[in-house]
Amino acid sequence: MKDERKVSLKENFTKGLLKENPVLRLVLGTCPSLAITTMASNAIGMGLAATFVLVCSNLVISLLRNVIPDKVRIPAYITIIAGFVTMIQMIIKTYLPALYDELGIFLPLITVNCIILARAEAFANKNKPLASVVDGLGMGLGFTAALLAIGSVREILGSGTWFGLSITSGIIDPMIIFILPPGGFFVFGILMAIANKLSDRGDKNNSAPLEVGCAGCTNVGCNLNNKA
Amino acid sequence: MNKQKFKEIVHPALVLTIICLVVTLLLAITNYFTNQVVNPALDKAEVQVLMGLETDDFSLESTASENAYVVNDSAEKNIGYVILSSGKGYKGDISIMTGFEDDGTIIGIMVLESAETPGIGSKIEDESFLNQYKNKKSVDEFKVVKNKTTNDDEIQGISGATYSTNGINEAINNAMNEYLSIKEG
Repeated sequence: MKDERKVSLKENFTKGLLKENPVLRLVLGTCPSLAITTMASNAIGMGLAATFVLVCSNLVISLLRNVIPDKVRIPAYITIIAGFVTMIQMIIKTYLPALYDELGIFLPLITVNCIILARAEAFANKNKPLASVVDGLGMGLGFTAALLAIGSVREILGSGTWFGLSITSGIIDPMIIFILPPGGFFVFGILMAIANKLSDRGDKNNSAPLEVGCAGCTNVGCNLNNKA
Repeated sequence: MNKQKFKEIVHPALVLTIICLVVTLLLAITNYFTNQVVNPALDKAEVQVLMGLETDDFSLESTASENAYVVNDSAEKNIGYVILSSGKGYKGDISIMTGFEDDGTIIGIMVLESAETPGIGSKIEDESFLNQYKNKKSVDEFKVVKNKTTNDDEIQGISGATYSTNGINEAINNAMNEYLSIKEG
């Protein structure tokens, strides 16, 4: 299972931002991407909380990659991830209660956010700690950026505001559909198309994600069969 | 053979148990530290804003009801009431805090907890909506109407947010009833 090419740290970081953006390219973490993006301000809070968990869990799982036996891989990862999510939940509830109310159920749901488990499976358990942290940072920030993009479009078109500030509300009637679920899907699909177009540009031979195969797979179960 | 089987079963279970114990310990520590910051049921600073008071030179006195408090000024004179109440919104309960003058006029309403749809139901927290209740004396019951209001106990709803407006209206009516029962009893 050796990697075909050595990947630099910088590449590890930047791939999460566009070429392998978890939301728009790998199609992971779609639930919060649709549910909380009715307002742009939610995106930052959610994105940073998820990034914190992603970086911490990638680091710990990478450090323990030779210690955790294959058989209990998944339960061990879930326990570690749930631990970090609960910690950040307690911290946000105490110091940022307004954000806590806004995120609601989606904060504890970070635990089962596919992005975190997928990165643990596809990257952290095969790579060194520093590379894993950098991967976590890149993926987390890519997640945040995607949320911000979707949230901004939906908020501007759907409420006429951006981060609460009025943009078009005096001039154009806001189209409420954009802050309802169907609008979320419309925006998501269009942004995915744009991201695909931008990623393919200038990359004629190698437009597939760096980790081929399981990286974009949301069915983590299939990984269990692949391990020797 | 036995030793290998032993390792195959015990070792994974042991590692998992240790991970669980370590995670639990870290959570207990985090919980201990974050719980130090106590969030009281009634925030004095919020009450000050709600009642429109210049200074925090006032005190809260509990009443027979656990949801109603008398607000007394520095001379122990009754300057009003703060009442906690809730109503059923679109997504769960909406919890509010209502400030009343001694004679029952509504000074203001503060939403404490609500999980209404952002951008639609959340508009019940907008000043433009809540101001409809301000300075109104307690009536039998506030009613939410879709068109222009014709009398004092009617409140204009928010289009597309019927459940949310009904929910907060119910909460305010509950607060009013609480005020009346405190006043009488």
